[in-house]
Parts: sequence; C-alpha cells; structure tokens
Amino acid sequence: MSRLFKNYRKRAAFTMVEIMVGATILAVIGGMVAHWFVMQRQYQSRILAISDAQQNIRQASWNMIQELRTARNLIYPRLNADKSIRSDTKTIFKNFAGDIVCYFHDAATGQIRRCLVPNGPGVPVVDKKPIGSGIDKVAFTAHDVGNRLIGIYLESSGTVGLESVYLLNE
Amino acid sequence: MLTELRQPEAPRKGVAMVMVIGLVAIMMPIIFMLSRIGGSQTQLAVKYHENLVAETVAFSGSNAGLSRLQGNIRGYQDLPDETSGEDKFSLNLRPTGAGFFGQTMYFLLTRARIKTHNYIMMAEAEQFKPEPAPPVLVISRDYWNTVEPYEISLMADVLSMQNYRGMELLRLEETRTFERKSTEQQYKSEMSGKKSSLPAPLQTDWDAMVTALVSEKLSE
Repeated sequence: MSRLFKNYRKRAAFTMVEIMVGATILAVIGGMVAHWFVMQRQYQSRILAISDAQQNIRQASWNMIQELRTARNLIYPRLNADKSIRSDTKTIFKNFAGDIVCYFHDAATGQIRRCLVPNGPGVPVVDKKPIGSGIDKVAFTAHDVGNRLIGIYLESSGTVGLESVYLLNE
Repeated sequence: MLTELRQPEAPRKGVAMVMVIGLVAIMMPIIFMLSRIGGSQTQLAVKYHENLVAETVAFSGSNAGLSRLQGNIRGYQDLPDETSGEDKFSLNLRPTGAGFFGQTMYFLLTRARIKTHNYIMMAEAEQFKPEPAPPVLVISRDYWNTVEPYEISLMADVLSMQNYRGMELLRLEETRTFERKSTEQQYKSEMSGKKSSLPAPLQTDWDAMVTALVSEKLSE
C-alpha cells in the first residue's frame, strides 16, 4: 500500500520538462501581452497629443482669421523685391478700424500674442490673453503683390495646420 | 494489480493537463488581445459618431432657435429638452440689447449632449419687430461669423449691418482723419514714438514698418 501511494504521488506531478515548457509558453505570451499593452498606451497618448495639438491650432487659426479677413492691408511681411514669397514669425496689418495690429510668436512660452498699435495718438497694448497657446512654430507668409493674401503655418507637437486668408476690405 | 492498471494512464494524463493548460494559456490572451483591438477601434468609431451627431444636433438646434425668433418668441428664454429626432438639445436665448431700429440683439446658445460629447454653439441674432405679423426678420451670425444670406431690400437691414460695425466705422473715420490731417513728418514721428512701448519681437523691424505706413499714408 505504501509503495502504491508513493508511485501514485510520483505520477500525479508534472515533470520538469512539462513545467519548463509551460513556463516558457506563459512567459512568451505574457511578454506579447505586456508589449501590446505598452503599445496601446503609447498609441492612446499619441492620439491625445494630436487631438490637443489640433485643438491648439484650430483655436489660434480661428482667432487670427476672424480679424484678418476683415482687415484692410498687410504691412508685414510683404513679398521680396524679386517678388518671391516671404515668411516671418510675426505679421502686422491694418485692421477694419484702421488701427495697426501685430501678431507675434513668443517661442519661449509657445504663445501667439496680439498687440494693438493705435493708428494715431495712444500707446500700444498687448492683449492680456494670448490668441494662441501650445504653438511651437509659426510662419506668416505673404503671397501676393497686392498685400491681401496671407498664409498662416502653425505647428504644435508635430501636428501642422495651414490656412490662407484673403483680406476683404480695402 | 491496481498499480499496474494506473501506471500507463499517468503520463497521458500529465501531457493532457499540460496541453489543456497550454492551450488555455495561449488562447485566452490571444482572444483577449483580439477583443481589445476590435473593441478600441469600435470605441473610437463610436466616439467619432457621437461627436458628429452632437455637432449635427447642435446645428439643427441653432436653426430651430432662429426659427423660434422668426416666429416672434421674445425675451430671455431657457428651453431645455428640445428634440431633433431622438436627440435632445437645449436652447438659451439671451437678449443683449437693442439696435437703432428697436431690433433686439440676442445671443442664441444651443447645447447638444450625447453621452460624454458636448457641443455648444453660439449665434448672434438681431430680431426685428413684426410688421405687421410674423415671420419676423432675423439677421443671424453663427460661430464663424457667417452672416446668413438675405436680401438687402430694406434700409433697416443696411443700417443694422452698419450698426454692427458702427463702433469700428467710427474708429476708422478717426484713424483716416488722423492720417489725412497729419503731415508725413508728424505721422512718422507719432508712429516711431511708439517703438519703445512695443514688445521686443516687434521693435526690431518697427522702423521699416513705419516707413511702409508713411509711404501709404492717406493725404487730403
């Protein structure tokens, strides 16, 4: 009886090879699943970052386009002497009311700021709130001889936005 | 006897157990992984769909609000639980003042909510008095400042548009007058004097800007 019990106990256990095979399979699968989870997290973070960047770009574009399309003419940038296009991180134009408005990019804070310069007596005032935030790069590009067409390139966290505005008023 | 009978079964049982455990260990994570992949993409699609529906309902709601204004609804109105199909939206009409012709100016706020997606639209509207009965003339501007197409057949329309831009037109007259009345030297001096008050990024090119401004200055 004692021998029988001993043999039974011995046979009921897994062999070392079986355990090693099982452990290896589990380790491989565990690794795959862990890798997949990490990839998913990275994917989600990336999607959120793109979404935020697009939001920043849309907001900044909208704020600028609202004023630019009813503006009167561009002061800066303008085409080069050889009529080639010209870009800069700031733009200056006369708004609907004839005052001078400047948009400029503050690279240190990633903000686009607006400064209103009275076309007459008065002191320039920079708006308290930025018109764009989280913007890494900005380029305002002059496109036409008449100084009525301006391109706006915005870059935020690797996402880019490109707008073109035609100034409606003389 | 018992020992002899059980001996050949034991290795098969062990192998079978390992195979079952192995299969479960392989299949379960794979099924889980596949379900998650399918699930996340489906969730994303559903979210986009909800977002679009919320946006569409808000647009419909905004138009519904403008129709209410044309139907002569007046004053502050808080109208929750309006529906577009099966989806609810809420309207909020806030009077903001009166125009030259006694027309009431409004902010029309429309909110549509589908699960976690909120879409809020704001439109500006000018509601004229019914002459003699509804529909009332309503001029609206949506979030993108698009003016609803309408025929300018009444002097009131034209003047109300001017009223909207009235402040800026008055300011335009001031700036133009300043340019015309100033000599080139006076204008240049005034504009150059602002350089020290400008933010640093604008100061560098300001002299060139002033030159451009002076060259395009209006004259009498």
